[in-house]
Amino acid sequence: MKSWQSLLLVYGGLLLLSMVATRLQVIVPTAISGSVAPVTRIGVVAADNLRRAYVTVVNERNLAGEVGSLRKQNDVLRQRNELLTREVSRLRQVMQITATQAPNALGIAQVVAVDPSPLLARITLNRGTDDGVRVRMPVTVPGGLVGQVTGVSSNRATVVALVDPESSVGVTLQGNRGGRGLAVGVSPDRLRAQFSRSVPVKVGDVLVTSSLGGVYPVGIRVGTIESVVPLGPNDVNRTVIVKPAIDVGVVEDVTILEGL
Amino acid sequence: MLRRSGRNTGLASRGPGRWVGVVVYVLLLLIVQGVLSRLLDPLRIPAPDLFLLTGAALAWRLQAVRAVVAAYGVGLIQDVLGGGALGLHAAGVGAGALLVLLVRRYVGDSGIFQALFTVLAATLGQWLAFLFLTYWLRSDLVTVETLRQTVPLALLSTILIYPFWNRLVTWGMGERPGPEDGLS
Repeated sequence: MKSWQSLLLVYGGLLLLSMVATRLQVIVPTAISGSVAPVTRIGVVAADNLRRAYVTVVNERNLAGEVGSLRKQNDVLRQRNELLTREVSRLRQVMQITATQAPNALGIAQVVAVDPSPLLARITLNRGTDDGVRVRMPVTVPGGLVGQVTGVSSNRATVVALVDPESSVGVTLQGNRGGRGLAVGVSPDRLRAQFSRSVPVKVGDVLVTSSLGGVYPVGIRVGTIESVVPLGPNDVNRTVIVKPAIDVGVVEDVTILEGL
Repeated sequence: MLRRSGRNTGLASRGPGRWVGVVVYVLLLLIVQGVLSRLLDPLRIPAPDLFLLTGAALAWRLQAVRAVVAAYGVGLIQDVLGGGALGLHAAGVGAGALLVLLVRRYVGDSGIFQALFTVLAATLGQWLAFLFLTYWLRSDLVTVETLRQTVPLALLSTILIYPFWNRLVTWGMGERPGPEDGLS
């Protein structure tokens, strides 16, 4: 008990000392507190570095997340850009076709299937009667004629390409040089056209559609004469082999024209 | 290497090793207190009061009167380093040590409750001294807002660091004696 009394007495004295010191606002000279500044500075610098390291780690984590998010966004935008580029390409194709081949384009269609037969050359489009497609409508691309629609359902259309054996198209020489012939498909990828003997055809001449048959608009490129078959003694027509202007195997988007 | 073999009845064994440990402890005290204050201040969390824990550690290791005087000295060092009014923290740490002596006297448990009561008593004693000096100075040193916001967080942070800091204290000052050794 006595020890506690002495203890309280000691603390009382110390408290009294503090009361006096604080009342008198005793301030320690800065030189004394400054003498330990190098030691305390170690703590401050260490803490600052720790905080910076933490902030850097957090920022890097955030940046990594942001980069991932931006990459995803970039992928989406790339995809969208691809779609828009294709759309622009299609619209340009329509514009080009309406300007150079026929003004009555029905619209763009995509090739969704190709006949696997090596003898036939037919493609299926993703447009049908619901879109206004009808039989015998010409199908083209800016490079030239593709063929004509021979079958149609509500949302699909079958196109017989020029090189199909069942295809025939009236042709003439480009540049209004006269001559009227008929080109039929020859498997696997050529046409055979016949002209009257008087028509001066030669290798390299370009053939375009003529009004013969009343199916195709006039002047759409069909192909280039690859060779001229020598005339026999009894031949009344001159036969030429034509390389088509369009390779049906690589066509993706085509334009369907209103029939004549 | 943080624990020394054998039990001591005061600060670590005599000799040069004792003073090396004390000096290293003081250096670590200054550095760690600076680190914690610098890290926690921006978060508006009061840093754990390692000077107060040092005062409490002295209360557990020294004879009662010496412990209070030594704790007062530790608080005085805190005042000097802080550059504030001399005697403020000194009275606080001294009062904290005084209440820790009560824990040392009456709490026999040596586990988590003893640790809890030690920090609680030290913090309570410190803030009672602050309050008394606030009244004495007729100043706004401690306000109701301070008691409501700062004290609980300061207590919590000090409790959280106590187990770790106590290991360093044990290394620097040696094992503490039995509950009532040196109290008389």
